Amino acid sequence: MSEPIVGGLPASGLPVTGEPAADASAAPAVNADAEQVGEPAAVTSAAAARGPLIMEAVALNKVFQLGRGASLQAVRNVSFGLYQGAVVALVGESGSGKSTVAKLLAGQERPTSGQVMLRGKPADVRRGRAFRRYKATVQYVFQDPFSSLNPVHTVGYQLSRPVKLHQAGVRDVRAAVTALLEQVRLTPAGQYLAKYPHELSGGQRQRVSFARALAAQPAVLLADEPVSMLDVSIRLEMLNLLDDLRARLSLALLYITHDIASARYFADEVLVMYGGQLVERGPAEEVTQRPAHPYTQLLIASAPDPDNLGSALKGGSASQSRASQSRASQSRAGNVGPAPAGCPFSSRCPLADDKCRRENPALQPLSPARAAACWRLDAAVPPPVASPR
Amino acid sequence: MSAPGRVWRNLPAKAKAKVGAVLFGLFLLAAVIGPQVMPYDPSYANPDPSLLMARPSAQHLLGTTQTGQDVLSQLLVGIRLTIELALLVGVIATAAAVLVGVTSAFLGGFWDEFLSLVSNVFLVIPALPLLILLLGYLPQRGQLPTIIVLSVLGWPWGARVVRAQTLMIRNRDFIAAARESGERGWRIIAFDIIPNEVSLIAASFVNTVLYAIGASVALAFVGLTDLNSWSLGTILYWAQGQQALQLGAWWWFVPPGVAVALIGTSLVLLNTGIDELGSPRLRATRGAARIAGRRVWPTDPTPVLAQLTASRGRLGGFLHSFSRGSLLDETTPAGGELR
Amino acid sequence: MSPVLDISGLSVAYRAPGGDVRAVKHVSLTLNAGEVVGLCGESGSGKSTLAYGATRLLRPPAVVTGGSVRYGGRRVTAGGDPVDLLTMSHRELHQMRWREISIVFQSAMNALNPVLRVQDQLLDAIRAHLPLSRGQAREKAATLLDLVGIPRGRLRSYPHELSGGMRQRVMIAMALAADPEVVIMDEPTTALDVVVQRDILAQIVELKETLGFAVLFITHDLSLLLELADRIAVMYAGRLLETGSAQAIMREPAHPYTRGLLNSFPSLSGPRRELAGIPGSPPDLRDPGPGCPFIPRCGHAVAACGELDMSLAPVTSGLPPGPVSHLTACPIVATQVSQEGVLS
Repeated sequence: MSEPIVGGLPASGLPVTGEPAADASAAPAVNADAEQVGEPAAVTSAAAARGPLIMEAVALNKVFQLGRGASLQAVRNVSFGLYQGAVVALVGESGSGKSTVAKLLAGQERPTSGQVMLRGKPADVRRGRAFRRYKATVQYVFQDPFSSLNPVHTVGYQLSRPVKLHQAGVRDVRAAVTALLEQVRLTPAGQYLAKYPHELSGGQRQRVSFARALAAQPAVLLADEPVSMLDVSIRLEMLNLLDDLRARLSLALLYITHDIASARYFADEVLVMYGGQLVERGPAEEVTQRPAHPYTQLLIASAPDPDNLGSALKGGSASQSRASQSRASQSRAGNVGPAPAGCPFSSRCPLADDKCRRENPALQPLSPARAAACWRLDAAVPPPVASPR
Repeated sequence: MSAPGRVWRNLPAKAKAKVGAVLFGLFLLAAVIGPQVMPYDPSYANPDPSLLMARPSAQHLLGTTQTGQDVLSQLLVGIRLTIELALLVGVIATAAAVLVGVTSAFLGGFWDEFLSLVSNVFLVIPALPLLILLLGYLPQRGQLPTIIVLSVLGWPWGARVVRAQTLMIRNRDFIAAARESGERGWRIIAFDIIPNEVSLIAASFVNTVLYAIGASVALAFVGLTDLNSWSLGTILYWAQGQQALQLGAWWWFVPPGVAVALIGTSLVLLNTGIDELGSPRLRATRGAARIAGRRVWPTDPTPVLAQLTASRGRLGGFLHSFSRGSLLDETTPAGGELR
Repeated sequence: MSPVLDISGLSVAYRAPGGDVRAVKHVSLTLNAGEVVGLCGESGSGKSTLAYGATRLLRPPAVVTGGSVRYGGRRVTAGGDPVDLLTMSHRELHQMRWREISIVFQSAMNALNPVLRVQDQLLDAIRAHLPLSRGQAREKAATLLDLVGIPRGRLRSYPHELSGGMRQRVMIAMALAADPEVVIMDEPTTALDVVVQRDILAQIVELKETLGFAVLFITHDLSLLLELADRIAVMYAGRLLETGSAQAIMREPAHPYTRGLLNSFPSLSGPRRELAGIPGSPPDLRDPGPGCPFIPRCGHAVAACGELDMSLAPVTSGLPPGPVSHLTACPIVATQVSQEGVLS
């Protein structure tokens, strides 16, 4: 029988703090002075087993200037690699910086410092021809199927454009577009050519978005929450399609999501982000089964799990009301101060001590393939994972 | 709301646009063939004393002016000149507005600031006094200077509107996706952004034409345009100068005045139709709907069919059951229950 | 005890020039005091239409074409018979709204007015339905924020200054302003992260225990309902496909659609297995075809499915019968269940 999950954290082994006080702002403003202490551990990516390294993020930093002198460090010191034929999942809540990382890799934003390497060479994403060449290798898929297609053009037209731009010299554009539609399993392809986006369902639109990205015949696909805005019943089909495309086309896939369960299902390596930093990384199975960082543990405990449905939400118990009291008192404090100088999670972490609040940890090695950025790794006992019923 | 107000609100967009289109179409027709079919040369001053300021008759359907000129002929030429001028100003000013508006929104940064500054300056300048000044100083007084001056002063409003719309579109994912595909900037503007603004541009065009008509008539009335050409405003200028109102020669100033008013009205109707056709949301929230023969306002609770039909009476219900899409043939359900 | 909300045979359609779209077809649902009933369905299934149609909040061209919606809250019935919302006048409905039945709308981002402070919006809701003075209403607004765990200082904030989770809590606070008996929650956590989502759900349960209202929770995420709801109804293309207690649905899903849904969630703690999901997409409501609307996507469909009248029948199962009946619209799976016993 599983531990009752109370207020988001297991009721035993860790003090119950429940409601995180940092609920006030969607983007936990990271103090730009909170430099990480120590060098991030070099880790062999679980994805490296699949194929050669295609793309690499090296110590990426991105600071946004917000006007009136304020700045927001959206990404701090993020490094990882994308390998051919492998899926790397980037998991985090909104405001964690995961979308910004994707935009940096896609060339839509330029890093404040750090580099994006493509096949061993620094990526050249200045405007114009260099950018277009980059796009022939690295494609980005948008999250919202309802706004990523131009409402006034047919599907056929919107797919023909990237075909003409990237598959130069192809004689029969229509055949190429039809082949793309078949690749994303929109069949019979012929009937989709003349359709407008508003005539398609969300899932169909998202497939067209995939097809558009594939028209460039890229080596890297950056999928930013590709299924979050789709109905639950079709998400799995879309993920299976992505997996199929990855296998057939030997794509290096970056899968960005806030749903860690789908990351486990789909990815080779999982990277967890919080407050702009990588807080944990490792093989997908290990990170989700034996999470080391307190934030990863919180994510796992909060996710609804069909095989392990806690009854804590139903039926009031004494521990429930205790949790609610402490939760209420936490949130009454509100969150209107400057961001902590140390670890970005320290304001919510039940294990945080003075060192955590002062010094921002870099990724500490746990094993050749795993690392977590936490000073209290020894105390962060992962919650016991219940066996299936 | 007053009864006329309610009626106006409830007319569907299509009806308004149709009426406007038909009306404007008539004037367009008059502009095209009018001068071909006019009975007299509008400048020809008939010396016959009985035909000076004469009331409408079989010979002169709209009477004559103080100097014996045929009002109908003048009117037909006037319609052509006025519409010609207004359409030209519309095209030039709208093209300029779209160019400036889309470019400044798309490029952003310095160009946006600069072009916005320029349009704001032009907006702020009081148009009519400036027009009067410019035309007063220009050596020529013909159509061309008027067109130029009106276009130069008529584009900023449209530019601001197009810029605002483009800013919204620019942030949509499909524009970023076009960039992802590798599209060049100008292609994105021409083929991705502008096609999404067609109804806005059309409305802006119609607005500009309306403004041009009003402004040109006003200028002519004040005597600043070529007084040898017979635009509607010029006719009014002469009518006013010759005391037509005081002398009761209604046939001289009423037709051109009514023509201006009707052209303007037709354009407004057209525009209303374009607005609502272009924005489905406007259509939906417009006014009452008719359900099962009864009017239901958006603020009413969802109507229940049984209640609507019950109050109609048996004859009404009988008649209504023949209408297409009648919901009265609902059969008894065999549904289950969640107990 | 009689249910606090009894929807019986409700049908809702949208009038359209090309023919009517029947969005809800003969759906019956009851809500007892203090319980949580989950309404699960994809977009286009009619779940929101059902809730808004029952409370008569849909705008034209929507019409309620049949059924009854009986409300049995004691304040209104005074111990007598339940009243039918569908027969009420505009004025009577206005008395009902918020004081008896309130709604937490989807996407709090859009439901809150961006140019009004939180306090003003709360005061709006309070003073529209309760006879309080400005001072009393202000105090009530502050109390409501206390109830949902938001610091009182936030009364003066604008919606964009609050996080998604806080905005949703404000919506919940607004919905509770007049102490209703029934709260309808339309996808309250869809746009939120899992951590915030869990907090909001826990908050809802706590409030329900304290204040004693019943909840109709509408969502497309069945896994939430399995944790949160007492009873669950599964909707598809305007019809109910299966209803029962959360336990029964979880252990013995008795409709291919429900099974497909349960099979669509990657698990975190179980073994990492291949999942199939549900192929295809929901039907066009203008022309759903005869019989069961799920036929095109169903792996068990036979010819007889095209002639079903979609009435719900009890599931004969290996489990001992509980207080809540487990009903399904699929005769095939119902028999399978009785043969196979409890499914894992």
